[in-house]
Amino acid sequence: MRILRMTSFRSTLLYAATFLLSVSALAWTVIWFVDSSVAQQIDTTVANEVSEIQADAGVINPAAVMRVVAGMIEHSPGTYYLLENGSGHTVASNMGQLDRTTGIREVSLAPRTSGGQRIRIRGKGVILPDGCFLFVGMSVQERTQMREALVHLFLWVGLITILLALATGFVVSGQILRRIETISQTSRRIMSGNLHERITLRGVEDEFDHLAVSLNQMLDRIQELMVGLQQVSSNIAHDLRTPLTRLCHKLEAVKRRDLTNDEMHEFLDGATGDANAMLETFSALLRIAQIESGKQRSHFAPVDLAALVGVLVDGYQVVAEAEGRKLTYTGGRRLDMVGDEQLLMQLVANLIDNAIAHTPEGTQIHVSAYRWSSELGEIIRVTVADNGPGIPKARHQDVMKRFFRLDASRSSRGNGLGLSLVQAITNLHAGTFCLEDNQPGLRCILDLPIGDVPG
Amino acid sequence: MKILLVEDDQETADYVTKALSGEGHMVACIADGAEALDRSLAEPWDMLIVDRMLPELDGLTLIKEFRKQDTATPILVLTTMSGVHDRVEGLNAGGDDYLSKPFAMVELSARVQALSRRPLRIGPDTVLRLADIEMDLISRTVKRCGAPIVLQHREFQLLEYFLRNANSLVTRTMLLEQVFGFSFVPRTNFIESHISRLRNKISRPGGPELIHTIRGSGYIASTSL
Repeated sequence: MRILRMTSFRSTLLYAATFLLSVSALAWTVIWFVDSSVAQQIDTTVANEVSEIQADAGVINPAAVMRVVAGMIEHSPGTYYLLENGSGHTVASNMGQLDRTTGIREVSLAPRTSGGQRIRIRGKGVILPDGCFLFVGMSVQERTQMREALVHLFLWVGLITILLALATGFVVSGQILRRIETISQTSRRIMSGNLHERITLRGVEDEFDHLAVSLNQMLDRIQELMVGLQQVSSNIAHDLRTPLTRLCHKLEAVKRRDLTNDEMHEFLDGATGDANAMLETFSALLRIAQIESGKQRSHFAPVDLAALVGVLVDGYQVVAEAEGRKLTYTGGRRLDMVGDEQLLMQLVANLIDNAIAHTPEGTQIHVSAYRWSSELGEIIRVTVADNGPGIPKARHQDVMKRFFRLDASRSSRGNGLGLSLVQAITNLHAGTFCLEDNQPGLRCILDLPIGDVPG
Repeated sequence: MKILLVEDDQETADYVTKALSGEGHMVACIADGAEALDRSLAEPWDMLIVDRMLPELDGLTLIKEFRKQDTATPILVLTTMSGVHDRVEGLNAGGDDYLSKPFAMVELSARVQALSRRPLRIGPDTVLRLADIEMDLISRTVKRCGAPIVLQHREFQLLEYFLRNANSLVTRTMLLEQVFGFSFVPRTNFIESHISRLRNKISRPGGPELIHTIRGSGYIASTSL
């Protein structure tokens, strides 16, 4: 049976067994305690009775003792008396004969009053000063009955416990089984192609709901990645088809015989340009893949980011000026961190390149680099901010995507891989990258943990 | 020049051999690394062009072994790997320049040209000259027709590179790598902007243009073009 193999059911059985064991232990203790206290009570009563008889009769008068005992025999049913004189003759008794053993003991005999039936009597024997033997006892029938009743009681409790445990185990295991079944059915449906399927929540916020939420989130993420991958492949196809088509056209044109030398060169130059653009796209893809594989961490070394950004801004100021933008820089004097110098250079250059390429003439671009203490620890924050048209907040996530371009016609220069590369390099350095509204314009914020800087 | 080409990809080898011999060089091509090491040490060469991925003995080891015997002959490293750091590894092994495949033939021959000039560079020259431009490497000053030109650090380096490689093609990537230390190609007109600023600074009214643009390939510093 499947339910027997289930962990939850097996643990229910284990719990039941443990509980049964503790019930038994409890039962044994209770029975032992009750039993011994009843015996103790009998002993006390009997001892009292003996002293009472002695007191009533006076110590040295055997005839008086006999009278008292005879009276007791008549008036106290359930109590058994025996009085023998010094020579061993029974003087008064309602329980037959006994040997002259003193102290507490239990005897089993058939007194005349019980009609021949054997009963157990617990009592105390004493030798009186005049040599008479007196025994006073009580039936232990009640004690035996009580013990039996308790044993019965605990047997029932144990049985009910087992039944309840098993029933609960079945019910709970069944429920768990059903919920697990729901999850595996859903995953089978997803495997068979229904990628939109999600595990239904019961809304009780138990562990299963938590599990379902995590699994659903994982599925969302996988789906997102798959859609992204599909998008990327179709984008690659699109991005390469256009220059390939142009390349073909140019090569076709070269085949014409009526071309002048200059015209032919122009076509060939154009064809080379198209091919180079495609190569660049592939190189960028390969580079991103290489960075994302994380192997490049082996090239981490101490870098002064202030010097690095300074040199880049210095180099790009000439470009910005030629393109009619103004590029300025403020930053710390020395910003030591551990990272990959070549990649960090490419990262910052990419951001500045973007700021120059995607803003109109007259735009001010400001680069800053400072050290901060943040929740990431010690970081260096590099910002590249412009006062250009910016990017609508809703598109901030989109522009990070591979091959995404705000210009839907994809005719502007660039391959839409710039920010993907930025993201990949940032991730390699365990940093964060985000875009913000600069009001007006765009602000790129790059936070890089400084890492284990020596010294 | 006598050039030893170590390349196992037949197509690339043919392409490079044809182009270099067309430019007047003597080219010997070997596909196997171990054999190439023997040959490289057996006779004097003006330059080695070595692919990184080779059968028997890989390119970097070949270069290291070769450098134990010969430290002067310039070596150009070729590779299909295009990682940022491959260049550094190639140079550390003892290569003098690095080019990743696929490359344009113009790029290769420009680099071969630049490398072949290296011995001159180590020479005692402290002054570089081209036409009426004079660059003093000790005082770090530049004069045109005797009149001083104030150049910033980067502009000075750029001009120095052009003067050292006067009359031969200098590609954009060569400038990016060797003057700016970039292992990537900026999207904006980075090199163009720097060249145009340098041209403005060194220009002389009525004087001839010194840095010429070769469309689709790069630049040449020359008096006659």
